[in-house]
Amino acid sequence: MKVKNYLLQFHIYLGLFCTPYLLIFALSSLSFNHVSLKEEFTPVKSERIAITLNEDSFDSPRALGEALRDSLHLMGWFIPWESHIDSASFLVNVRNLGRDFRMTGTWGIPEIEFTTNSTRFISMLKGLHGLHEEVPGAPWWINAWGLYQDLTVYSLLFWVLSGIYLWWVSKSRSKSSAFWLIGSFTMSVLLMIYLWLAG
Amino acid sequence: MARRVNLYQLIRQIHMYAAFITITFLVMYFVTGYLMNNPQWFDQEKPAPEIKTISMKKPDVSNEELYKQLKNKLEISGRFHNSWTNKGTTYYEYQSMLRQTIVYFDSTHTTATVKVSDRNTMGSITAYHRLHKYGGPPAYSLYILLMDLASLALLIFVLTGVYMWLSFVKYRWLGVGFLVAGFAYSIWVWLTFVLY
Repeated sequence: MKVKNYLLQFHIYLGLFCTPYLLIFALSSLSFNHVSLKEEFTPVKSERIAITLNEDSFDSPRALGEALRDSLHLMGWFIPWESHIDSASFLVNVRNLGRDFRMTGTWGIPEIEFTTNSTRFISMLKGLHGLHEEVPGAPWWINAWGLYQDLTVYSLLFWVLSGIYLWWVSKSRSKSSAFWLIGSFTMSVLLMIYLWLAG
Repeated sequence: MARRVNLYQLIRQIHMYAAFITITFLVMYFVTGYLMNNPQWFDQEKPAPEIKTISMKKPDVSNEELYKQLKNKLEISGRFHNSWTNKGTTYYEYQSMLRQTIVYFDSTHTTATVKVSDRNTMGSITAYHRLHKYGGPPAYSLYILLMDLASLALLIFVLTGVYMWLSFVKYRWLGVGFLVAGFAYSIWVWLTFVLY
């Protein structure tokens, strides 16, 4: 009886703490099947920032992008396919889940055009679904998201096992519920094996 | 009171049956989520791709129709996944749980290059998590349908779970603390991305 109570308490409180990630996970998983993956941005602001850059100091768009990101205290990943450098000018792109930063300039002119765009709401959801790596320039609470995600992933197994145990010791356990459990498990596993072998 | 007890029992049954119907997918999310979050702990080596060139005129048809024709001619497994154009060449990507195939035609549209990359074990297992969008053979659409049901079931777990906690537990402050902590942290992360 004691074990059942402890398991139930743990099942409940772990579930309550992980509720936001479960909501994000469920909604973003649905969106992966039904919403376009194409990235779209909405302009937020555009400004000119005074900054002196020496062309010889940067041998690649990545070096320039990461230097600008760090000096402007931005948070995000350098996007190589949206960036380029030539002998006259440059464009570098840094992006995180919520913001897209584009910095353009001309060598020799001590200022850059700095444009901030916002991402779509659904992109944020999808980003939080899979955010596990460290985000360059991010504060600690962003990089701790991976731990929160890990906790939810481990909890999934705990909820499944504790849920089956709680059902097993329940007085109202019925044959129809056992049928649904075994039937759905068998059907899903067979489908996965079929996809593996014949897909 | 009787109505309240009955509603509680109904919600409890919904919570349980939603879990039972999608339990395999929850275990799959645990296994694949664990592999994807900790790839450094598993074998990363990928088999070298096999590349072959064949003489074939490109038919002027839709992506799905092209897939049907290529599937028979080139013995491609899985389903059409994506197509993109780079420097004038259009690439067609086909995926199954075990391999990825990319087909592209030369500028005269008479020769097809086929690149077949077998996934390693980890790639094949995580493909169950990464599979998305309806289309292709019926088994794939059935799998995506079950994934959608699993996502809906997760929403149901959350809502019914919170309801049962509110109905079942008399001392609620501890639960309120856990719930608020989870939401506060998630909103904090969200706002940081939007305002930082």
